[in-house]
Amino acid sequence: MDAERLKAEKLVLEKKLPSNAYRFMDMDTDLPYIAMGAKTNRGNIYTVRIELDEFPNDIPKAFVTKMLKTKSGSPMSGCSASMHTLTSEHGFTRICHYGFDSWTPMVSIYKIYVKCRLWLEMYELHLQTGNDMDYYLNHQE
Amino acid sequence: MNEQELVKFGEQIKEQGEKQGRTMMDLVFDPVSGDFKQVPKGEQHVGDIVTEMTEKGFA
Repeated sequence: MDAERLKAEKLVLEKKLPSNAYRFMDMDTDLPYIAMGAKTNRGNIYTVRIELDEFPNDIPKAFVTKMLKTKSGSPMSGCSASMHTLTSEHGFTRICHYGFDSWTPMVSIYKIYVKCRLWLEMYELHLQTGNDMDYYLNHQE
Repeated sequence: MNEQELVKFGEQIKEQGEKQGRTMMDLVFDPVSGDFKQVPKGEQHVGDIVTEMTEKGFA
C-alpha cells in the first residue's frame, strides 16, 4: 500500500471509528496488518486482524484473533462454504469476505471491517440457532 | 436487542439477501456504537447503510 492510500485509509478510519478501536501494526515489515476491535450487538468483543501486505491490489486476509468454534464445538479452522471461512493461519479463524470476482482495489479497510463485523454477528446467531452462516449470508455470484 | 430480536434481525438479513433490494428495510451500521440495526428505507438514521453487504453476499 503506498503512502497516499494509507493516508486515505487513515482518514476514513479517523472519521468513522474511535481512535482506540484500531491500530496499525508492523507497518515497516513484510506483514503489516491492522488490528481492530469489534463489539457485537450482544456485547461480546473480538479482535479482527486484516493483513495489508498485498492490499489493496489483492484481497486481504481477515482473521478473528482466536480459533472460533461452531455450535457443535468443532474448531472453525478449515475452508467451509457454509460457514464462509477459509483455511486458518496463526491459529486464527479466517473470514471469507470478498471473492475474486467482487474484489476491487477501491474497497476500503473500513468496508472490510464492517463486513467482518457482520460476519461476527451472524456467527453469534449460528451459536444461538444452529443455522449455518450461509443460512443468513448469501454466497457471492 | 434481546435473543428474540436478534433472531428476527438474522431473518431480516436473510430476507435482504434473498429479495435483493425488494425489502422495505435497510441494514445500518453505526460505527460509534458499533451496532447494526434495521431501519425502514428512507427513514433518518445514524450510521452507514450497508444493505449491499447482505444483498451481494460473502465469498
